[in-house]
Formats: sequence, C-alpha cells, structure tokens
Amino acid sequence: MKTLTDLAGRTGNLTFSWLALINRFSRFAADSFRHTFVAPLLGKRRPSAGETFRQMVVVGVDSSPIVITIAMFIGMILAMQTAYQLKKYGIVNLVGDLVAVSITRELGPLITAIIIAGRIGASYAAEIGTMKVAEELDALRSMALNPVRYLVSPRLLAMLVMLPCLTVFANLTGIFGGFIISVFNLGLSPVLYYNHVIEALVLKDIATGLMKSLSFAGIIVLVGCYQGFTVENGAEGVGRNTTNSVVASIFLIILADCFFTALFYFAF
Amino acid sequence: MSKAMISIKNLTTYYGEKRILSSVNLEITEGERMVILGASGCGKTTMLRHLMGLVKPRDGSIFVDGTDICGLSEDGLDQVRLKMGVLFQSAALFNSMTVGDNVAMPLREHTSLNEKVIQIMTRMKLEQVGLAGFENLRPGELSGGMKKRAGLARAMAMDPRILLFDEPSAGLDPIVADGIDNLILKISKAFKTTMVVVTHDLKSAFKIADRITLLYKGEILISGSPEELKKNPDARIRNFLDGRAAEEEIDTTAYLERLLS
Ligand SMILES: Nc1ncnc2c1ncn2[C@@H]1O[C@H](COP(=O)(O)OP(=O)(O)OP(=O)(O)O)[C@@H](O)[C@H]1O
Ligand SMILES: [Mg+2]
Repeated sequence: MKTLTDLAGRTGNLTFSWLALINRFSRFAADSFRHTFVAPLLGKRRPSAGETFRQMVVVGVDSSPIVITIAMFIGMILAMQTAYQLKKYGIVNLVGDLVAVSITRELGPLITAIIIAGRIGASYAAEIGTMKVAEELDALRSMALNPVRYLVSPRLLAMLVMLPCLTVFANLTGIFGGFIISVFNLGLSPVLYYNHVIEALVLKDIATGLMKSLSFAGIIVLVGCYQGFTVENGAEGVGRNTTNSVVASIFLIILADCFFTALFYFAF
Repeated sequence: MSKAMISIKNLTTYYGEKRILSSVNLEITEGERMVILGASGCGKTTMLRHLMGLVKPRDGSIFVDGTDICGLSEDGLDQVRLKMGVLFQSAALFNSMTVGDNVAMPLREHTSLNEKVIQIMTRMKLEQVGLAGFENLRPGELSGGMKKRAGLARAMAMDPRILLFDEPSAGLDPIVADGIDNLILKISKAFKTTMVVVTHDLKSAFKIADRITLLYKGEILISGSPEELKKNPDARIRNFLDGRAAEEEIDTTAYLERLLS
C-alpha cells in the first residue's frame, strides 16, 4: 500500500514539476518574442543591428562548411539506399525524384537544425550560463539593459534568417550528393538526374521545408538561451545545462517536425 | 540637513524557506558614504541586490531618490537604475569585450553621443581609476585589483548619483585594497556621490565610512558613526570588531541529535 501511494505521490510531483517547467519556458518564449518583434513596433528600443549581424556571421557563415559537407554525404547515402530498393523494380532512374523530395521536405531542414542545435544552441547555453555565474547578467540589469533584449533578440533574429538559408544550402548540396552517386555509380546521365529532380519538386516541398526550419530556429535559440538563463550551481551547472540544451532542442525539433509533417500531410 | 537618498523600510527577504534579512530599516542620506559591515553570508549581497531592484522583497519597501522601487515594473526600475552605478563582488566585467568597450557600453546604449566623444569619456574614466592605457586588454588579462578598478570605471560611466560597492577590497592584498579605498574616497570627494559600500574588511570600513551599519544574521545590530561603534559595549559588536568568533554555547543533546538524525 505504502509503495502505491508513494508512486502516486511521485507521479504527481513529476507532473507538477514538468508543468511548472513548461509554464516558465513559455513565459520566457513569449517575453523573447515581445522584446524582439512587438516592443520595436511600439516605439521601444530595438535589438542592436550590429550584434544581430555578428550573430548572423557566427550562425551562417561559420557553420556553412560543416552543414554543406554533412548534407552532401546524406544525399549520397540516400541515393545509395533508394537505388538498392529501386533496382528490384528496375526503376533506378527515379533516384533523383526520391532524393530531391526527401531532402527538401525532410532531411535538409532536420539535419541542418540538428547540427546547429549541437553547434550553436549549446554555445548559447554555455555562453549565457557563464555570464550568469560571473554576475554579468545582474550587471546588465543593473545598467538598465534587459538581458532578453540584449542577448536573446539578436540571436533569435539571426537564427530566423540564417537557418532557412543554411537549409537551402543543405538542400542543394544534398541533391548534389545524390547526383554524384547517380552519375558515377548508377550510370544515369546528368541531364536525366537533373530533369527528374526538377520534375519531382514542386514549390510546396521547398516551402514546407523552409517553414519547418523557421520553427526549428525558434526552438534552438529559445531552448539554448533558456538553459543559459537558468544555470545554477556555478560551473557544474553550466555543463549540465549545455548538455540539456542539446537534448531538449533535438527532442523538440523532432516533435515539431512530426507536427508539421502531419499538418502538411493531412491538411494540405 | 540633506535629504535621504535611499531609505529601506522593514525589508524582509527569504530564499525559499530561509530568512535572509529580517525587518531591516536604514536611511542613507545624499552624499554620504555608508558602509555595511557583516560576516560572510549574513546577507550583504542580498541587500545590494534589493537596492538595484534585481529581486523583490517578501515584505517592506525601498525608496531610492523618493521612488518606491518595490512596486515598479522592469521599465520603471530601469529609470531608477540609470541613477546608480554598481561594482559587483566579482567585478562582473563582460568577458567578451575589451576593458574599453566595457566602460563605453553604458554610454553607447543609453546616450546618443558620437563615438569620438564616447572614446574620450572612456579614457577619462579609466584615467580616474588609474587604468589609463589598458582599454584594449580583455578582462581575462587583468589582475584582481585591476578588474575592480575597471568595474568601478564602468560603474561611473554614466556619472551616477549613487554608487554601490560589493566587497571592493575582498581578495586583494592589503596594499592594493588600500589603493581601492583611497580611490573610493577620492571619487566621493570629487563627485559627492552617495555611496553604499558592503564589506567584511574592518580596516577599510573604518577608513571610508561616514557611518557604519553592522549586519548580523540578517538583522541590523547598530548603525552609527565609526566612533559610536568603537564605544559601544554590546558583546556581539565587540566580538565582531575585535575579530573574534562568537562563542556559541554548546548544547550537547542537540548536537548528538543532529549527528544521529
Ligand atoms: N540564489 C540563492 N539561493 C539560495 N540561497 C542563497 C542564494 N544566494 C544567497 N543565498 C543565501 O543567502 C545568504 C546570504 O547571501 P549573501 O550572498 O547575501 O551573503 P554575503 O553577506 O554577501 O556574503 P559574502 O560576504 O560571502 O559575499 C547565504 O546564507 C546564502 O546561502
Ligand atoms: Mg556577497
């Protein structure tokens, strides 16, 4: 009996703490959007353009080599895996269609987001967490500077612009990866591959992929920064929250991906 | 008689269930150097954080220059914070910026002065704290005492009417610490700034204070001029001033219970 009530109590506590976390995170997210998009419209201070540009360079320019390289390998893998199946039916010439559609609708946005969550989201958590430990966040507030406006807004704007751009690069190089396998291994003619890709893709494939990547951008920045702001217990806390930020963003990215895929599949 | 710049009324705060400050009452007049003296962990930093409006008290009110800051929104607080400069316990310089940018930052964010003027003002502030020529270094390349000086230059950037210091001389050798004390006195004389200095260093407290407030386990034991403090016969005050640990009565039963629980 005692173990039963114990179990019920624990479940209750766990549910409660999760609800509290969701509540705090949503309020942080709302605050971030307010400072980034609403406050400037009301004539309040806008996020710094210079800092936004600096963050865009960090996210976009510095991350593009790794995103491009990984996307190309993903395209090659995808081409080999689909060719393996299509050969059975003698329709290997459809490799281009499959690679193009699955990259633009799904893998391009997803892989890009996961790389950036690990590379940039984690660094946001570590950076802001270290600032918190060193009293720098208090210093900002004591200087009448809002930490959300000062730290989150430029990162959010930069990510919302740069993640879709990186996704476009990933889509292109992913399709190019498929091209390499098709031409050099499967013996398809370059023109045939190209025609199949162009035929197969419709605007909706590209648009839905980019829509997803916008939502992923929001998740990466908000989770990374939130984990930074909630660091406790000094340096050890910074390490823990940095790890948490990667796990939590990837989880939420997959969740959002599933939601949007279902939405586009059933509704449009 | 000059007016009260900061007045704290019945300030009571908790961290969770633990009471940190209980019913603290304190008036700090304009231009005064108030030293808040107390042992480690007695709630000095907590009190400063309340003066900046970084945390809201459970009970009581704080008036800064006539405004009650406890009821203010974050925007309202920002107006009050512009009148204050703060030197944090760890200096809290922004590690991603050079020393010069740290000092220039409040000016860049809150004024529309052009960059040339900001550069000159930054150099002036660094000059005042004895750090001329260090503007291109990173905070990580400074010694502890230099960090405190740079933090002070940043706190003074906007020419605030109130300066708050959290342990300005903690962790510094006696000579460097004395240099910081002299700097505080110099700034006070030159700008007539209202100063609240939190410290556990007796020597520097007696050197800089117009008045000293002794904080003990979240309560004010006494608040008065250094002479009044020296003359006071209260055992707890004497213990603190003579640098003796209070002799606690050992309750053997309670001690055993704590060990066995
Ligand atoms: N974020 C926090 N959460 C819980 N308790 C805290 C927190 N910050 C401080 N405390 C507790 O509040 C008490 C007072 O802390 P405070 O930092 O104000 O002390 P202090 O007088 O500044 O000490 P020191 O001289 O060591 O800086 C301490 O007992 C500390 O354990
Ligand atoms: Mg302290």
